[in-house]
Amino acid sequence: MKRRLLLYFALVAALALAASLALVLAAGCGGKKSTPTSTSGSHAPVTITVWHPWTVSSEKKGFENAVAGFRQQYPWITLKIVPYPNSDEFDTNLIKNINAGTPPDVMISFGPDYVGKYAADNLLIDLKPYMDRDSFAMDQFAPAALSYTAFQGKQVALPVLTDAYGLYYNKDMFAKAGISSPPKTMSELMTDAKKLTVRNSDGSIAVAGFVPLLDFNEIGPADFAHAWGGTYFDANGQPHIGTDPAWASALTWQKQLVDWYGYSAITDFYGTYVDKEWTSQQAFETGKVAMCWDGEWRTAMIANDKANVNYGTAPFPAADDHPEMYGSGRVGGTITGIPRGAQHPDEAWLLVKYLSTSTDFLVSLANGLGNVPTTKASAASSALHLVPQFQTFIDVWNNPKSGFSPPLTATGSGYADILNSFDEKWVSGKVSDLQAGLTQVDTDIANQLALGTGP
Amino acid sequence: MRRRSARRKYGIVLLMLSPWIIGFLAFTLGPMLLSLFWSFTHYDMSSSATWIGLDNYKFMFGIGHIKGMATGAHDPYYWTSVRNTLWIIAFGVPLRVLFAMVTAMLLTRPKRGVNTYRTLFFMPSMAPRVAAALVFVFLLNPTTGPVNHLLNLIPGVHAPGWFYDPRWSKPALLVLGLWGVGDAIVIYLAGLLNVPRELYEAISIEGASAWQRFRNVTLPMITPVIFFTLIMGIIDGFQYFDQAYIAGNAASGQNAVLGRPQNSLLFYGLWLYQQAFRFFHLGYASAMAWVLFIATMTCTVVLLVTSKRWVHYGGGFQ
Amino acid sequence: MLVTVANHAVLIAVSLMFLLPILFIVLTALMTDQQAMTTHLIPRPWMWSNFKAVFKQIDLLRYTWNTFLYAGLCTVGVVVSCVTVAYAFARIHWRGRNLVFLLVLSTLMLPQQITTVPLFVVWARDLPTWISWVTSHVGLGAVHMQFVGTLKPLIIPAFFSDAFSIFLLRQFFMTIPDELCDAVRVDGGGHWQILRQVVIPLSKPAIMAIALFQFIYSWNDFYGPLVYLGQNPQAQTLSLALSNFRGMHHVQWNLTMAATMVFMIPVVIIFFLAQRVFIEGITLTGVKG
Repeated sequence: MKRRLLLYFALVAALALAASLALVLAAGCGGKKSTPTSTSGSHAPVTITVWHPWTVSSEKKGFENAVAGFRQQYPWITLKIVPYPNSDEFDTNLIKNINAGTPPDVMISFGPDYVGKYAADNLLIDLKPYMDRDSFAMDQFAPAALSYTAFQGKQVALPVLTDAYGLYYNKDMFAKAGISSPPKTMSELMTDAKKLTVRNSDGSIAVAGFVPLLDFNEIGPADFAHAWGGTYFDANGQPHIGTDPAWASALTWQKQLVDWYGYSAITDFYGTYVDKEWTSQQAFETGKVAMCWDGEWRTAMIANDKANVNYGTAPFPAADDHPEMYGSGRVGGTITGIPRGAQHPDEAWLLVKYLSTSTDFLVSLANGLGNVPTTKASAASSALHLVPQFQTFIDVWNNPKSGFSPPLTATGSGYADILNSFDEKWVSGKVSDLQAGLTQVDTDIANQLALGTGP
Repeated sequence: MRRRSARRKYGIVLLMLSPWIIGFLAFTLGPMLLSLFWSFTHYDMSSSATWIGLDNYKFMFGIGHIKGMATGAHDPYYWTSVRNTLWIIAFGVPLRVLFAMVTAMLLTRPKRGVNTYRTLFFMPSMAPRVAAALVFVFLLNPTTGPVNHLLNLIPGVHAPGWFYDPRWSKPALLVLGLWGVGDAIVIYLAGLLNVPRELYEAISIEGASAWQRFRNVTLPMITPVIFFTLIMGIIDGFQYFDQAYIAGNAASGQNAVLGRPQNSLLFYGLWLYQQAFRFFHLGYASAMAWVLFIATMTCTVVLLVTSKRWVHYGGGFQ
Repeated sequence: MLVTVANHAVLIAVSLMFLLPILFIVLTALMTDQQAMTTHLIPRPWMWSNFKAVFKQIDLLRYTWNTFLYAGLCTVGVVVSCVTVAYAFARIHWRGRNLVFLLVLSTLMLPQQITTVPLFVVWARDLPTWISWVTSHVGLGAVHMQFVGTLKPLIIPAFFSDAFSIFLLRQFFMTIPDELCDAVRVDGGGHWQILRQVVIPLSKPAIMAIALFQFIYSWNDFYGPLVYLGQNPQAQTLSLALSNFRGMHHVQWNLTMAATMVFMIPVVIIFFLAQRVFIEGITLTGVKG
């Protein structure tokens, strides 16, 4: 009896082992590579699935309206539009779906953070063959577009509108403080920020001139470094934050301003407003900050919220010794592409082409969302209804020194967290040796990238 | 005859256990072995796993040389996540045990209203963690939250920044944890009510003080309950995830980076999740999971072994 | 007398501590956006429309249905699969029983991360080749299902029992007097008869307890849905939807609290209907363990 039982257990155990082995094998085999390019002559009805991350109902409706032209142009293609409820988790979940073999035909993502990974792991198909076939040229976009849609020579995505960042400033407060024009240099920004700050009797901040802390609203250490011409990687693709002097200068500037406010005073202020970025209580809209680094969409939000703020926009200041950087900045935004394993890549390409280049579509969406139109034709369109303050962002987008940051890598943009969390620590005063810290950031970033790419 | 009935018995046992056996093999043991295998590989789901030996473990602990990395290469946040996790266990678990025990002792006194109190205390522990975390981010907002409105009324008190201040973010989670302590209160209350009355009477005759009564009767008699809540608290603590994930996101207003402010909420589970499902370092995440498993196991076994010295089962009184 | 009053005073203070957050949820859910930031506690005006706004902004009905499906089916699964297992541990003597039971208990302390990473990959694949292999060999044909992005990875394991429920049921089954079982045996009944005629009827409270615990656990679960359901916007549960709601919908606290209320109300109702069951169940695991 006992032996039988043992036998039974041995059998079950062997089955389990075989099963786990099978799993290993099953997990090991990747998906098959898709082969693009084939002429789409047939007009049999086709349904293609589109994933997009717009969540607010007005935005969802805006997108639906904007693709009406596509439906008209290609009546045999039915669009199944799926709004994805969380844009921060969009790319990771798309990757899961592609690996699971259940991708949509067309993806639209808010951010290029994963484009490097999409290309390196062949998660989105290279659009080159389609582009060659249809003589589709990249020069209809600003040069900055290449910085975030192509990687390792693969054009895996195309831009659909973009974001560009700049400085918003409150004209009334400027007038009251006797400042005539927006700051053009970082030292002017510092002086103006101090001048514009209003404190309560207990020392806490009532109105901040400029909040130099990570993610207020969109700024990060890399944006400060850009003012000094700083970059993450050297020509060989190695991180050089510790050796490029721009970073130390930028972070020193940042810390000076933080210390002037007092760390605890500025973080109290930060805590009050940071989570209200997407509400009508946002600090710039309610006159709690005089200057603010933000994306172009804020112009539309100010209008939508009917915020009572008399404001202007300008490119972010450049370092005093780097005037050539003035007028440029971080850009990069919504992209579209075709996942590997898409059911109908040919029809998907038609949509991708439409989304990235149709002037009617781009103008309609840009008017609705207040994003920067990406093609030269759409930016010049007379149908564009954007506020005068918007021009700054179109200029930043077209500036040849503008580009997407953090730069694409084969493992995504997670490495930027290392720098950002170092910055958080630095401004709080917990770092004694800045240079050593930045060198460590380089090492950590290099290791993180190595961990991602593997042997 | 005996043999046949024995065989039938084992047949029945196997049949009755089969849901568990299949479930254990398919959903526990199998995946664990898979995870063990992956922990020695570089695996990202997009391409097949490649064997890299101990590299993942070396990177975790920062020892030895790893191919493709500089010497001394290590995960910069691994120990941060370990420290945060140990912190929440070291403060969270004893606080929970103490608070539950004291509240339960107060509950044994009154003749009326015990059930009402018990209901009130117990209810929040049933609330979804996601909801509870969201609520506390709102309640503890440094400037607009009602808690700081109250604290600011007290002269001389500078109300803390809670989820926006790395020094206060973990204590804020402790507050959140205490709100859900009701299940432990119920367990302690039952444990206290189980202590035979005669024991108290006997020791009272000897003229024992309240402290001596507690020290010599109550405490020994509820050691099994303390032990149980301790073990469960530690196991939960090692896996701490939901509250930190939600609270961190809700406070910073974005989902992209876990563990803010200043990585003070980067617990082991969060870092593991980020490695696995954000960076797709599935091999490394598997290695982290195995280390977590071994740590949990060791702690539990150590507690179990030492428990013989201080946990009184029945205590010879019954 | 003084001691009693002091005692009650402390207890009332503690009760308030537990109650106030709930009060704040309810009040904030009924405030305007602006008022939610102020010290005024009584909503002015009472914004009952907040609930309508929440239902309009996200597909709350679908998420509620998904959550209900998840919690309901898991409950059925756990009840169906745990009773016999617990019986085999509690009422049948066999060699190695304690050792195997220890194994069951030890799975309670497994960090969920150790299984979710591999299971995620397994569920995500065009289903495990070995399952297809098995199904094709027992005449079901090859099965091709992609499970990630559906509720299946969350529900299926529940049908293969759960260590906590086995433990709780076993504790209860052991308290059943042997005489009752012997009576069945004398009448020539075997274990199945004992299970059906004695153990199950007597254990209704314990079975009810594991059912309710499982229901609440699944209803509240966040980690599982986060890992398995992220890919499919249609399949999300309330916990996931609520976390996205705050994170991504650029919404105000009043609406967040209204959504939170919708999420919590079923839990509160179940709790009040079945308070005794919960308390007895909790007591059974903690005190007699």
